[in-house]
Amino acid sequence: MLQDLILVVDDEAQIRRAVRRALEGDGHRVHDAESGQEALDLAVTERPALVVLDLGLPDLPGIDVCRRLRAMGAGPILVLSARHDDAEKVALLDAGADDYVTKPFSTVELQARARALLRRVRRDDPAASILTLGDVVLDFQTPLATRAGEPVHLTKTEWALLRTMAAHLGRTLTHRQLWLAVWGPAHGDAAQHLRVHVRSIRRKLEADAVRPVLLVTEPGVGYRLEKPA
Amino acid sequence: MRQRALLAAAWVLALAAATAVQLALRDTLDKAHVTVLLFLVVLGASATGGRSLGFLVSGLAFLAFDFFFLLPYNTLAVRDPRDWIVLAGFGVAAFLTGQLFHRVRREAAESQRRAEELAAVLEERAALLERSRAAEQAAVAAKAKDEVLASLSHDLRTPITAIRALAHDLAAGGDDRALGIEEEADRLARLAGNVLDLSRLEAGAMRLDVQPNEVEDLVGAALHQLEGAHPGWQVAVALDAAHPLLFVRCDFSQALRVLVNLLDNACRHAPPGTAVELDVARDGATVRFRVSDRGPGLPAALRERLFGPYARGDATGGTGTGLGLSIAHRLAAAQGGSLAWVPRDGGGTTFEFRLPVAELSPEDA
Repeated sequence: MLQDLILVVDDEAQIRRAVRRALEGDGHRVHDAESGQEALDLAVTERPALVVLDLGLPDLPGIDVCRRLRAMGAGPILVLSARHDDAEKVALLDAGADDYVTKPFSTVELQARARALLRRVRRDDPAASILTLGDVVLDFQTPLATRAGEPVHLTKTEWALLRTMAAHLGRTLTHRQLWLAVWGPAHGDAAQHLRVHVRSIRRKLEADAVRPVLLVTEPGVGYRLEKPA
Repeated sequence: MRQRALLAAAWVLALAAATAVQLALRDTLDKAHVTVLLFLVVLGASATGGRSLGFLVSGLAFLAFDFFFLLPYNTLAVRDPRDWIVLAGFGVAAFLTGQLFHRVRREAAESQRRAEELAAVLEERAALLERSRAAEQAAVAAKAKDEVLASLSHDLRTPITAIRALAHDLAAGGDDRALGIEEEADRLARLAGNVLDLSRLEAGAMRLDVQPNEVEDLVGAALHQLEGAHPGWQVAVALDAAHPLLFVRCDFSQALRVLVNLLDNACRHAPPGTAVELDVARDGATVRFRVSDRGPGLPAALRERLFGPYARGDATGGTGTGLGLSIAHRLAAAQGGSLAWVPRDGGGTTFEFRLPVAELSPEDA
């Protein structure tokens, strides 16, 4: 199988080196860039399958690089961030980043995130009409939901939420992204609605609503649908 | 009052003296001399004594002039019709003088009052300006501290990330000592993060995003984090059956940190085979999260300084830095909540974390 090419963008030589070794150790090919402009140029010529992007670049704000990479249709973006505040994570995901790890991250964590993003690219199929998550089966065509073989009634809004999250399985969607997709921009304060519906879905689908494994909360950022191991 | 009476008496005496002196020289003096001297006394009285004293002295001078200095002497009658003109002129001049002095004095008093008012307003403005400048300076200082702490945090994390990654690399090459380096780098990162957070909280530079959050969501995220990191740990959860849908006002991530910190501590201190309990209930305008264990409990001496920085439950635990509860306490307060230790019957420790209830708008309920 052809090795995936990963573009690593960081101005710190040590981090670049560490990330390169971690990804090469995992069987990928790596190109690196020291600046935002170099990254944008390489994204055009090399068409990487994944971009690992540090936010603290000297020439361009990381979030702009993120937006421009997304606009030129580059592969998924994994952001390395030294900041821990939720507002930045939300802004990054809204700008088109696919995932982020915060410094200091472990090599294992970085490898796992990179693998997950590459797997998603390779799968690259539109949201399947039937999704199986453990003992929960969601048939978006009918639509029909079952848990351990028993039918579960879901409301229209709940189906809309699940459909949006299923289309981005394993990826955190921000509160704003979910609300825009389900309620649309005209709706007022959907944040509270969103939380009420998430709770309702969990009570119907999760084995234990306070220990969710399917509809997982990313604290301060949003929610994602996960396929249990 | 007494001063005014004295002043009045002095001017009446002065008038009497002036009259007496001129009376002695009456035959050598012209009416013009007399009026000038008497008028000077009236002027003096009006200028220093106010309107009533002015009128009193004017009246007396008028009578004295008529009585002693206009023919026929020693009567109030006036013989020469031209003397009427002098007498009337004297009277009118004395009266007008009194009025004029009065008006001048009133205007002076008025402008004095205005000046005082203006001074008071200016002083108030200055105080306001001072206060807003102080508030502005405090905000600028908090922002500056936040920026310094953020850049310090960034500058610390970058080398720690490199150290970790390089150590991981070495460990993969078979050097066991590198595992130790990686673990210690982790600890260093956590410690640096805690110190920075404590500084942020103390400088009022912690940025919080307080919104209505759903209680089950918060509890679920806490258990996910705790049980994900320590698969052996078990928490028995009791939610408020009377209030199945509860919202609290908090910063989700920071409230989560407080809750995970309490649960983590409780799990570390709980004897094997006993459950850590998380009991959630609405209590008035707050929701209380009680985290209880059947561990050894807190020594009385520690209860006093539990939430101060660097207090530590036990020296043998090894993992704590002493910053956990101190940060949790401050984080709870910064979100409008609270954190307290409460006694537990039957041994063990209970911590009570409270957050304000967020009432749901009717359309959401």
